[in-house]
Amino acid sequence: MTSATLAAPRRAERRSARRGSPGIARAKARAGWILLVPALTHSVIFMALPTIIVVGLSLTDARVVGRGDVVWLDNYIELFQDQTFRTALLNTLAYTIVVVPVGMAVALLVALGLNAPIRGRAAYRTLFYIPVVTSAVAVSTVWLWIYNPASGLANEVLAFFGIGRSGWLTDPDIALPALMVIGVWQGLGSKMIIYLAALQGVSQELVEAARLDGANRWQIFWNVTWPALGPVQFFVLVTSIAGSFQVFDLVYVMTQGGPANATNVLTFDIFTNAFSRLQIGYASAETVIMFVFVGVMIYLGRLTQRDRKDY
Amino acid sequence: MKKRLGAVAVVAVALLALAGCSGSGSSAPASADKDQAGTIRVLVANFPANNVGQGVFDQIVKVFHKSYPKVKVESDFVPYDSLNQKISTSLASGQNYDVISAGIGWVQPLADLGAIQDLTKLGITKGDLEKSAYPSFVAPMLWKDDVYAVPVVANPRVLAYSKSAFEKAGLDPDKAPQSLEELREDAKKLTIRDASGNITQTGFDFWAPPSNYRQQFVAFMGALGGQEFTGEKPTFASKAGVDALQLIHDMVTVDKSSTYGYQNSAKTALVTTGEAAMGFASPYVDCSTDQGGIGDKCKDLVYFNLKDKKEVEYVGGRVAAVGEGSKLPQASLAMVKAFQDQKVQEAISKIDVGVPIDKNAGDSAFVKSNPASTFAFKNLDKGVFEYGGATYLDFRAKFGPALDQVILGKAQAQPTLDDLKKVAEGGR
Repeated sequence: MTSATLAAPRRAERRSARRGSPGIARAKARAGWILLVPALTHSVIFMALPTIIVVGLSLTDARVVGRGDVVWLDNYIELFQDQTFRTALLNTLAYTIVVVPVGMAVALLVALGLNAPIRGRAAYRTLFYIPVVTSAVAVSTVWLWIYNPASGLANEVLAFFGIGRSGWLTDPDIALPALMVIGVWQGLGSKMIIYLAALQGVSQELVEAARLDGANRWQIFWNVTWPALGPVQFFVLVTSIAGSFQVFDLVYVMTQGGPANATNVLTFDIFTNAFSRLQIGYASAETVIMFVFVGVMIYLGRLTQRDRKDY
Repeated sequence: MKKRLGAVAVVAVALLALAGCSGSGSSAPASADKDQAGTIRVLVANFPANNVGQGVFDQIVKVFHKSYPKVKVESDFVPYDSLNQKISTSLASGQNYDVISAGIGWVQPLADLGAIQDLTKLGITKGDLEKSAYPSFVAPMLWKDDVYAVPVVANPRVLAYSKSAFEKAGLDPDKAPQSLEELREDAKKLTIRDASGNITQTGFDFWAPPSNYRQQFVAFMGALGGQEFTGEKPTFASKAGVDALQLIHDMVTVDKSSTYGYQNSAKTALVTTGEAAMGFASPYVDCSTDQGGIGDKCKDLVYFNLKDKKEVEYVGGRVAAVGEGSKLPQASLAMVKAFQDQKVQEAISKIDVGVPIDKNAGDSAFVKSNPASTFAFKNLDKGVFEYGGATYLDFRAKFGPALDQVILGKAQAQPTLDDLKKVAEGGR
């Protein structure tokens, strides 16, 4: 029996259902819309409308919202000639390119470890998840102490091995990597939980079958576990890219974009342009560009999943 | 061709209104009588949101209520980092503050933005300012020759050195460095390192976190005879500016007599705590033996000015201004004047770590209470400031990180200052 012959009766059933009980269908649709209204209202007011306003503002020279003249694409042209913007964009891309894959790899390793029947597993899971439920400002304050050049833990560890002190947040060559370390650590818990849930959904029958076929642990991971994590990998990738592009509080509390713009990222640059320089129009154009970049990065991430088969 | 984007403005204001921005509630017509009623909203930068900040503010309100007993006062304390955000959103929502107290550099940009109003129209003249404050404080209060703010407190950054450290380094403890070159040489001799090369005594402390060498640059440039702005015209990209910036670079990156961006955990000046032999310091030092006081260390500190081509003291400061569109302008003006009350100035000086700006405050117990305040107040007439025109806030945000590029050897002084000059002239 072909799929066409199977599909025909189904379509007939649906037509019959629509003809037979239009009132019920309409009531269901109405109930759906009523349930959707609060979320839709929220999305329109706080997401769609601001997005439209930001696009509109990006075409003006407004210093404050509502006070500006239309300058069309001037802000965009100026942005690409702005060295600070280029630095912020490159820093954001570097941060994303490092923190996303490294964070995912570390989280997967931790999840694999915590998926094994080890003693104190629940305690470890809690410990790894703590950074997620701790305020970013509190986390940053602790890391400020760790990176303190005079009395911080990081330099004490270096001193223990006879290595000289480092200006973790004052050396422009080290400051961004120092923030990347925190970014990886901070995102570990949420990624780990997702991976852990996915690992528990991996078919034990397939694992057992592979084992009976003589597969070793690596072969089981690569041929059974890894493919089964496909949809989750994509979810983690997308949320991680969006999250790393939006890194702000870490930079705001720890470095204020310094030293010498070495940790200036797009969100912080947007904040600076909007509220330190009072260039709302310019900042809006930068926001639109960031939006496009996040979209492109997610699209590229999606391409990596194109040929993946779900198991 | 440029067109007003009225629709966007309306939608934006409506959105902000939906977001719950509250109004000032000012309703009574403007007058100066004691029966005036209504509410004024006061935005105060840098007041701590605790009992100390509230206590000082209550003191200001008490003075204000002598003139307007029935006018309610609502305060909003914000750190400088959030100040522009508050002003920006209040303007966008049409709910501007009645009184704004901010730094000196904010006066001209806020006047140009239409956030504060011309005090000349409310009866404050340039002559009034000249009578009460040092002449050098008058120009920063003006915009297009009209008065837009009044000075409240000065925030000098004084220079100090340790006599004992000078003696140990073989330097004359009674001879402060005069020129910038002497300063650099002394700093090199005063720097002490351990066997690993780590600094155990900083030769010269700039007392600046990363991206914040602006004031120190202005001070050095001033000593070389330059100034940041002349009127609205940026003049820092001069030989004096280049030499000053190059010197900071040399001290930090070449001599390493100063550690870039280093601050102790209390963020106090290293020369005051004994961690540095010389450096920038606060205009207040606690000479008591109580917690936080430095006791006898006070006797070891000598305060001095650089006298390279010109004797200068870097001065920042706090101002107060009436918000544009205030429905109670005379009451708001009375609030601004309350900020200038001498006792209030002393109370604010403690919060701002500054000195009163009133010419007659030199004999006050507050100024005489410690050697740093006495020195700082005595030299206010030698003040060099950081302010300049409508684009100052725009320029300020780029200034610190750009100076860092040079200080850390990532860029050259002249082209960097030339680029900054373009920003100050209205470019990006």
